[in-house]
Amino acid sequence: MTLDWFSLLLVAAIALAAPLLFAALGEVISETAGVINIELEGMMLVGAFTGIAGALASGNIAVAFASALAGGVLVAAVQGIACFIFGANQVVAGIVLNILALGATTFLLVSALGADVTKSAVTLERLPIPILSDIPYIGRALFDQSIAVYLAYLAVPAVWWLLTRTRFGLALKAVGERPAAAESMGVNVLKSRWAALLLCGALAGIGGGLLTLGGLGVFTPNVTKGIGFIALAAVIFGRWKPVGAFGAVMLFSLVDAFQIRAQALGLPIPYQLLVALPYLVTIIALAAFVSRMRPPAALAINYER
Amino acid sequence: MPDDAPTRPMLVADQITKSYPGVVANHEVSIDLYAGEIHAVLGENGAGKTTLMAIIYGLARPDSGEVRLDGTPLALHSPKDALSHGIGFVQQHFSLIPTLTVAQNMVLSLSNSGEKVSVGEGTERVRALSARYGLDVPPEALVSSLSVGLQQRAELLKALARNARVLILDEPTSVLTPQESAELSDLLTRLAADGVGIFLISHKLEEVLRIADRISVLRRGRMIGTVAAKTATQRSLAEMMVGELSDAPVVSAGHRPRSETPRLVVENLSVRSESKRGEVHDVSLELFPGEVLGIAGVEGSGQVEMLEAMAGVRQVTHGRIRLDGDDISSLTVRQRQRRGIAHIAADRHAAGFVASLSVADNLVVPVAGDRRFSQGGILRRGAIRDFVKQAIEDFDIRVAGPDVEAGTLSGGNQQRVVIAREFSRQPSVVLSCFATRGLDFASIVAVHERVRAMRDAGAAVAYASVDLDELIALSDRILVLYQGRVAGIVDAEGATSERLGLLMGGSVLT
Repeated sequence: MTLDWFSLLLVAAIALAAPLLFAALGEVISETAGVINIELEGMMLVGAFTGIAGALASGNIAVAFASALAGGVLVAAVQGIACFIFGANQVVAGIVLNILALGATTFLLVSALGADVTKSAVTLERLPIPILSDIPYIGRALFDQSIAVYLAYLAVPAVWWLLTRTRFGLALKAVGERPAAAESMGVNVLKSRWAALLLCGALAGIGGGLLTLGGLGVFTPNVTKGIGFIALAAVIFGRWKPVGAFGAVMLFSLVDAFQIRAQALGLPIPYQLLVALPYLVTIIALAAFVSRMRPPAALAINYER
Repeated sequence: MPDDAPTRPMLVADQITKSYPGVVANHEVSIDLYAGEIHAVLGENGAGKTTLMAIIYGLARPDSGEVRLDGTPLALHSPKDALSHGIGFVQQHFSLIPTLTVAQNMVLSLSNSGEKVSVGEGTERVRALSARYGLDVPPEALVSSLSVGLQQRAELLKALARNARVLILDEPTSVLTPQESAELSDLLTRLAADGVGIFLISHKLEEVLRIADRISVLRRGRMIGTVAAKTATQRSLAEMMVGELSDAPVVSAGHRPRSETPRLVVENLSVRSESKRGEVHDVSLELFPGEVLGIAGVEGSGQVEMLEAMAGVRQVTHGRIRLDGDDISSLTVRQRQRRGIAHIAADRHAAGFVASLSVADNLVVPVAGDRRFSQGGILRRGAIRDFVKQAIEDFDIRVAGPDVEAGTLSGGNQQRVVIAREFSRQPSVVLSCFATRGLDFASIVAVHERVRAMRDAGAAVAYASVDLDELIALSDRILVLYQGRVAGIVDAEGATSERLGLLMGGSVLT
């Protein structure tokens, strides 16, 4: 295993991390406001689907991402209607939406995208940043990526700034900890939660879109393969902070990239075990650290006035 | 101590020291308890009363010092150990399961002590103890359907069923009507006569003087002294509690001339609540500029919900609220704030402030939309810092800095944060609910001063409290609520707690 091997590992890890990062950051925002999205996976899956559909219909990558975003927002809106208007339990509604998203995208794959499921759409192109991308070992990994990956990097400080330096962020924190207190301070709890939820849907949708549009340009059933849940775990592991979530996402992605490359090395390990590795790491990380973490006090509790 | 008291104390807590990060909650505190005495433990909030009792009950372990019962040191690892030695604790938050009946709770509690009884036997036990002490607790009633007073009795029965010789009560009368309090006092006296030793945590000087045999005072984690109730006065006790004593202005406000046009008018207001106890039915009232309208009533009479509806936190089911003539019933909280309404929420922890946010963030949430403090949604940190510093100084909030988490402050300082937040907007209407609950003496005086200052500046103040003496001292008029309806409105001047107490209990007087 040479340095070059590690460099390629990093390239793969960053590519894997970007979709996860969008979803995890969205979930950080949402959970800060006390809204949990078990349907983060569903948001990503629908985003991945509508992204491809948009790409096939328009041939334009910007339109494709806009439809990915809209797909995520759609799922978020359904969650919001179920929980905020009809008072459904957030976790239960989330689970149901995941099942619905999987069924709907699989079903629509044939009826909406046409029988030729292998038809590939426009995909994101790489956009190397001059000079920086020539840095040995890490240059290619960090700075020879698509614009979506760069945006994912930028989203980390952006979300941090949003949560700590804006009025909106302040309101979200109050709403996620003590909705009754926030309400009596004049914060509109429902509006704040809607905003956080839809923002999460938008980011998760983009993340999902990146899975398909940043890759092969095809949608396969259950293309997300549970990474929405990994993003959920990353939020907890990252202690509900954007930078923490970034670290957790990177850890998972490095392990995932490692297992993909390890398969190619022909090690005498059953490949099923390697595939399971990232999930195993997630479980261990959560089991080891979760007891010391304090979620927003009003997380997953609907607010009624 | 009764005259025929035994010569050796039953329970001794000897040289107890307990530190939490940053605070010494108890410093070499010693206290003892004789069989058959009522020993009151007085002190301001944060004086270490509850910590001391928690150690005696096995909820906390001392860093040093020991607890002895009949001369034998106890190894108290948990309340279970304390209970097995006959030490019972009625805490402020009852440890009853609300969805079970009283008898079922009794069975649970007894089975924790290894005594297996059936629900039928539990029912019998409740009935027998209830009859013995004249408590009248229905064994088959769901705990959630009982009044707070009855729940407290059920909690007491649990301790008695386990043959408690030492009974600790944490501010038991704070949730009771004057009449219920009197009944509790009788009960405690009877229990003491039966040989039970009772620690009574309280901050009501008058009550302590009336029923305790001895009184111990804690201040900042240290034992200031133990005195016989016979020789103590309210003033001597207050001085032990706070150190020096300024002459607190606890005089009746008297009848004051007021403006002819009310600022706030409530017409036939009805409000729903999660529990039946909090519903408001057809309440009408007028609130004039420059007056304090006291709102009396036992807890759960609808005062919380009524004020919440006026503040806009709770939906109005029926009726109207007018501010300076305009119907504001459907305005949002923020819109009402802009029109000059301030609200001090009843439950400071749930609705008053956000414990995990900093003092600065708490102060700034309602005004963050102000052009002074944010531009295009982006917070102006410099301006906020100046504002927060000023508020901390103006309202005498004792805190190391604006970025300290609000939850780490003492109750009095938390309430100062809430008051600073609400009053720094110069409101014209103040809706205050249980603002002094659980606060120490100095903080109560500070709250009263602020409220009076707002009134003198022309604000219309509605001030709900369950403490009648406080209401009589602070109010111009007092409105009494009983089960969500107006039982009467009386002038504070000449009002007595007996008369108000009768109204609070539903005996209609005119």
